[in-house]
Amino acid sequence: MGLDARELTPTLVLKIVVTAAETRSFVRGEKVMSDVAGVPVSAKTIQRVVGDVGHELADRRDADPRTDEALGQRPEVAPDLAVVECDGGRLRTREPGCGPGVHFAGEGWREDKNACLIRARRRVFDEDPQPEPPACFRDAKHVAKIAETEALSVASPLPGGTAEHEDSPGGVSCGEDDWRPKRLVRTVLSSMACSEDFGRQMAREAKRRRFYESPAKAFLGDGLPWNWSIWKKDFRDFVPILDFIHPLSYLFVTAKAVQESAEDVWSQYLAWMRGCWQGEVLQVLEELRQWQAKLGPPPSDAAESDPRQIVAKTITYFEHNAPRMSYPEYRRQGFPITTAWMESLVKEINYRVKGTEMFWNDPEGAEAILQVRAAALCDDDRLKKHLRTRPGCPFTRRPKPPKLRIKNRKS
Amino acid sequence: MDGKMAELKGRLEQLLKEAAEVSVALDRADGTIQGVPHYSVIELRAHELGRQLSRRIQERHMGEITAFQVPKAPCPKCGTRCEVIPKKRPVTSIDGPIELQELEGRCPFCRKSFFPAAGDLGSGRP
Repeated sequence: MGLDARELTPTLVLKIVVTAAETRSFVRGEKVMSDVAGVPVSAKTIQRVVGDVGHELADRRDADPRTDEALGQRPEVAPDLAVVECDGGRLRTREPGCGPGVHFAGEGWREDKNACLIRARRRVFDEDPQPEPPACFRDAKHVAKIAETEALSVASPLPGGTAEHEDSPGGVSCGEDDWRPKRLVRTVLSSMACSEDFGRQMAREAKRRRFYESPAKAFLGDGLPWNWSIWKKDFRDFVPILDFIHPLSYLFVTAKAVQESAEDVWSQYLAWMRGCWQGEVLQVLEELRQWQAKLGPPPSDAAESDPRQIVAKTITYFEHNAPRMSYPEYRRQGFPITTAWMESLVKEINYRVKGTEMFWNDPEGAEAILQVRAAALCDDDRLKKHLRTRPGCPFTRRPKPPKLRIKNRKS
Repeated sequence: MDGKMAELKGRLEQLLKEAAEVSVALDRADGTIQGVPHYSVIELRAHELGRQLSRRIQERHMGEITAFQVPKAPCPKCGTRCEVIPKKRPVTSIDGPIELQELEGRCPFCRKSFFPAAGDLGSGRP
């Protein structure tokens, strides 16, 4: 009947878990439960229930995707466009079992891994539907912000653009004739697992959602090597696309390193950025090599800020990623070219797991809240469906759940 | 069946109407609601009555289920059929604390108490 040893009815468990997933802390959850739901439940009880449910969700996430034990829903037809994006995040952890307070193992920061699998609708074009880069990438302040440098000082005297990007996550704004794919159904994965295990989780979810059967498949990531290890192992027949925003920061920093005046920096950046947008990556790479020849190779003890070092790093980056930078072709096929969906998702996950004075037991507490939050962020209502059908526990005293299988979490 | 359903629905409607009348009279009699109160007072009192009714219904349902179940069930761990006896179990619901009648078994081999799953019991209902 769904009752377990916690002495809470199933509907109350549902309210507790949804509250815990959507409020910023268990203590805030306690207040919401009392003041909004009208049922006093302690923060500790909320935390324990999240632990139980997080464990169950992890088990179903790892279940055979061909069975109904798997958490995701198998759609009747394969998606028209299947988009997979992944990225890392950071959260703070504490060593459990050391008594009250925060006890660190190392610095306490751990990487969590996140992915979104999106069923989307696309339009295919005969030619590149947007051959000119949008205004946001010609907006000095916006680009400086992307590059996360002190470039504002360089950028501010330059002709500024509009704030068009503000209402366009990911910065690509296209006006009325929008070529970008439309998101239909998003499901989310988040875990403390190592990249190899996380790749398997993604592959199971993709299989369950029939992503491998889709006629158009895209895999997007930034420059992180583990993104592309996952692509290579589990998503090989997806079109690999490097987030367009990512090379921009390299180009901006490199332009600053090789040019002196603010005007020249900006002109150089614009020329390179436009080249990338229009698919002339090899030409940009050639120009970078010419700069390297002019400046000379970086000595082995070169500082990070040494222009020779900056140019060398950018060349390596472009050499590795050039095959994933055919942006005009991606636009023509109606694929996304930025990881805006992923960036937006990371913010939604971080809202719950990352913040001042927010520390999670490493790894069980962190894994449990990530499972609950990820399920709450899925468009297929999987969290509520799970809670409405969970079998409960037949024993008077709840058996201690086995440890979550999370290995090599520092990778 | 339709006649029986209609009779039950009519009776429920009548009882709800009476409950509403009694509740209003009681609120006036004990001074909870005087004159023209803030609407939230009326709303909260009414909601509390709804919660009381919900708790009663949940307890009654479980009492009925327990009364008509067969007195033996398999242990979830080893499968041994064990005697089960009705016990009261305090549970918190979305409408507050309730006391449910539930069958509890104890397996002599596993030495564990258990609450049998609904499907394991079958119904003794005629």
